[in-house]
This record gives sequence, structure tokens and C-alpha cells, in this order.
Amino acid sequence: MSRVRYLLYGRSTRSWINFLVTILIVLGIAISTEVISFTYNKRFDLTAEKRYTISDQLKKILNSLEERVNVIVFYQSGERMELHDFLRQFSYQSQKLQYELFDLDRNPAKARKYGITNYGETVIEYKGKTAKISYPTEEKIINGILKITRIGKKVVYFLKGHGEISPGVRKL
Amino acid sequence: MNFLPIFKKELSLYFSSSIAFVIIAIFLALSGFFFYTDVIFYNLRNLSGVSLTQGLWQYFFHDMRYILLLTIPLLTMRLFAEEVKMGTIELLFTYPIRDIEILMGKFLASVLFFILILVLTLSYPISLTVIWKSIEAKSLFAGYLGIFLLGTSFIACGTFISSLTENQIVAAISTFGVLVLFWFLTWNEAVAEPVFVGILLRLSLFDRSYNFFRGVIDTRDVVFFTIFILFFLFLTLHFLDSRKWRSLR
Repeated sequence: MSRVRYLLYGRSTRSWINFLVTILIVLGIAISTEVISFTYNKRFDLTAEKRYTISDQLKKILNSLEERVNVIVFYQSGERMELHDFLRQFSYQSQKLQYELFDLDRNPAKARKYGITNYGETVIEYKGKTAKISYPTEEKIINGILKITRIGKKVVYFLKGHGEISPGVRKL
Repeated sequence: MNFLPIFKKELSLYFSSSIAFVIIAIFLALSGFFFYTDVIFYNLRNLSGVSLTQGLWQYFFHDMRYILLLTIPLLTMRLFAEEVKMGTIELLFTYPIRDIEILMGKFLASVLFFILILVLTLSYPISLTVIWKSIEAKSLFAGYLGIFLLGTSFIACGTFISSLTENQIVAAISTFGVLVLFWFLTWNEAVAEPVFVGILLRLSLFDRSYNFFRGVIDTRDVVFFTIFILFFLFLTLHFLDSRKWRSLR
């Protein structure tokens, strides 16, 4: 009985509890500091050509969005790291962009859902609407986002009166 | 703080034995070899107009990480383990210096030794100034900062593990184990859930050092490494402190 009491209330037990609690507290502080540092960060792009800074245009477009835009890439195995690095710089610099990477060969069902057949093809998803681009470059992503977010229908103009073929006529 | 005596003793221990010179020699030989192959590789690809940072420094730092992983556990394994084995640790604790001073003396001695190696490797990029006008010093600085933080994290981790055991081999192999785990945490990220991967990515020393190597300094990464270092130093100190009551039972 006294042995049990010793184990429960003894100096050694108390010391061990203190020991572990202190570690947990410090771990808690460490984790919260890390989390806070994620929100309030500064980035210094020291490369000569400012390679890892996203263009003002993309930043402006992303900031104007109401919801997050989701970029889904179906990659060829082996390309994952490269694409991951590339897209991460965007998501680092704007909370409005998130991305998912899928191995096309390993996720055939998912690919079928989006109608993806080629390696590197990318779906841009925003508010339930989707656009497909052939490969995730900055320019293509911008175009994709613009395509979905554009309000209203596309207007197509035809020139006539100079002997052109009118749009309704099929002539071979 | 009164850590200087320990600091000096540790440094002189490195250099009085052949350990320091062997480590420096191996480090420089390997990094020299990597640098040489990276330069050759860069020259082959140079036609497409790749920048130095992207085509050379990045790979150089990536390669340097392997050497860090190989050498740093050997640098830190004896810090505390040897003192425990030889019984000199009791003597050390009776000196009128605080635990934190002992720890800082030992830790900073390893860090300084590591900085010395890094400074020696600077000769590679500097030698390139003969050939190229600009060596993109700014992003080179970012890369070196990354390597420094990575190496110092390794040292902090190794110091902690050395304080847990009296066997140097055990200390070294355990440090290898922990570091490799932290390193390859995201190795197989394709199989994990995306949310889980997000957390792992933030913990992986490997992933967190990428930005530096590419010439980008993000305060998030600096904070992460600083926390990592401080946390392991805290653990060491906490563990040393527990010695006072652990022998009670």
C-alpha cells in the first residue's frame, strides 16, 4: 500500500510529471510560435531575376477573388517535386490559391471525372466552375482563372459586307 | 555568461585529436567533388541560359546537405556521451558554472567548428569569380544561411541525443536516425492524406531548407529552424537538470 502511495505521490513521480508537463508546455509554445510565424511572414527573393515572386497580375487577380481557387494537376510520376515546388510559391504568397497533385496513372477515376487524358493537364476549379489547361504555367493559370471568373457570355464579332462568308453558311 | 572555459576546452579537444582535421578533410573533399560535378553539369546546361542560382548553387547546396548528415552526428556524438563515460561529467557539474553555460559552451564550440568548415567551402564560389563576373552573391548568401541553419539544427539535435547516452556510437547512430526521419518525413507524400502531408511538410527539415537554396529567404523558415534549435537545446538542458532528482529513487 505504501508502495502504491509512493508511486502515486512520491517525489520521484511528481518530478516525472513536472518533467513531462514542462516539455509539453514548451512544445506548445514552440508550435504556436510556428503557427503565428506562418501568418505574419516576410519573404526576400534574392535571386537576380526575382524568379520566385509571383507577378503583380496574378497577385491582383487572386486578391480580387471571393473564394479560394483550386488548382488540380494530374502529373506524370517523377514530376511531382518540381510541380509541388512551383505551385507552392503561389500558395505561399496568396491564401486564395490552393493546389492538389495527383498521379494520373494512379488516379484514373479522378482523372475521368474531370475528363483528363494527358500528363500535366490541369483543372482550375472556382465556385463549382472548372477550366482545363494543358500545363500549369503562370500564364496559363492566369488565363484559366480569367476564363472562369469572366462574367457574362463571350461575344463573337463577324465582319461582313466585303464578300466574306456569313457565319450561318456552310460552303465547301 | 561564463561559458568560455568550456567553449575553449571543447574547441581544443576537437583540434588536439585528429578528429577535427579528418572531418574537415572529408568534408572539403566531398564538397569539392560535388562542386566540381555541379559546375560541369551547369556548363553542359548553360546553353539554355539558366541562372547560376538555379543551375548551380541550388544543386551545390542540395549536395552539401548529404555531407552535413554524414559529418555532423560525428561532430556532436562525444559532446556529453564522452563526459558521462569517463565520469568527468560529475566533475563538470561540481564546477561553479551553471548547466546552461556548460551546454552553451559545448554547443557553440560545435557551431563555430561548423562555421569554420563553411567558411572554407566559400573558396569554391570565390574561385568562380575568376571565370564569371557575377556569382549572384545575394542568393549565394541565402543558400549559405540555409545550410548554416540546417547544420545548426543538426548540431542541436545531436547535442541532445549525446546527453542521453554514454555510448558515442549509440549517440551517433540515434542522431542519424532522428535526422533522417526529419529529413525524409515527406519522402512518400504521394500516399498520405493531403491534410497530413501539409503538417509533415512543415516539419520536414528537408523541405524547409529548399527556399534558401533557391535564393529565397522566408521568415517562416528562419523561425522554424530557430524553434527547432531552441527546442532541442531546451530538451538537453531539461534533461541535464533532471539528473538531480532522477537518482532519488
